[in-house]
Amino acid sequence: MRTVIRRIGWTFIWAGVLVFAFVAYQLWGTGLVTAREQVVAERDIVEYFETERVEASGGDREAPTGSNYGTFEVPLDESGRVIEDDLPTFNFGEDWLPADSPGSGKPLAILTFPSMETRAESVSRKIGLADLDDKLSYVVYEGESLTTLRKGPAHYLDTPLPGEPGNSAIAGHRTTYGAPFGRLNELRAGDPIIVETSTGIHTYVVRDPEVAQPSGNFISVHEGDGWGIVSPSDTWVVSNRDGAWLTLTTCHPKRSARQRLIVFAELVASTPYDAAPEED
Amino acid sequence: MKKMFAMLPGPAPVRVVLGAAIIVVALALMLVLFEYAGRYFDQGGTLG
Repeated sequence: MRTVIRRIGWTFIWAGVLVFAFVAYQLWGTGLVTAREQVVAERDIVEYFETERVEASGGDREAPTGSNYGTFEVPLDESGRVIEDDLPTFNFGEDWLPADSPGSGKPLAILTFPSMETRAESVSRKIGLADLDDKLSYVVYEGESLTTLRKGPAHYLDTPLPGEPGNSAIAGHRTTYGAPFGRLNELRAGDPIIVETSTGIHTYVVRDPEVAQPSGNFISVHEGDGWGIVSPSDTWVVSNRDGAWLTLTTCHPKRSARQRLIVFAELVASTPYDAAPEED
Repeated sequence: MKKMFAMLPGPAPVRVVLGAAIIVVALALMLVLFEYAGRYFDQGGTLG
């Protein structure tokens, strides 16, 4: 009898250890996987941008190195919303051509939420060093497979690339794998979202979901917020539409895959990358 | 643990290698199980 009780006790102890290991892996272990992939991606995407820009110029120009992002500023009002009148005039122009996809699983773009402070930014702002480079930012990968989503936010393959006409959609984890979209519910209508691609820097503005809603119905929309809740089967969210939009999707509520939280943002400014350095 | 180690076949060096292999396989299986179960908590936010 004593042996049986002892064995039952050990079974419960090991079951507890297993559950604790599972929770620790989901909350922190998966985040380490994504953090490592993002570090590699930050290097790879700069190489990708440079290659694309040289090719876009016909191969006879020397592209500047690195990212344009540090040279770009978003005009914001006191409440952190975009002052759209101060942005460069936006239109795709007659010479506009779609960019090439880097291929599934490859780094595609840099997604930044200027209205969200990282912990580092919060500290640096207090000592007067706040910079757009410190804002919450992720490298986005091409293709929304589960394998790709472990590396960071992933662009839906069947939607236009960010910065292009139509509805470009990006998915991201809410709780695990670094939770890149863990704070999507902090976005308000009017907040900026910036996407840098090989073609330039594209500024989107979060719209009221009910106003921006192309078709279909939300399960709920909270007044004043820039997000709504839909069912996982509501594919109308990522279907193509007129204009130029960015749609972000993530799981809802946190630690559950029962519903989806979505954000609609409209392209209001696009600063094309100029591959040609000034010629004398 | 000592009992389990003693149950492994062969001399001590072989048991050490076997024990290490069993631990690696068990950890790999645990990772696969965790990945599978994790999908119920967060599917990456995809639709469809």
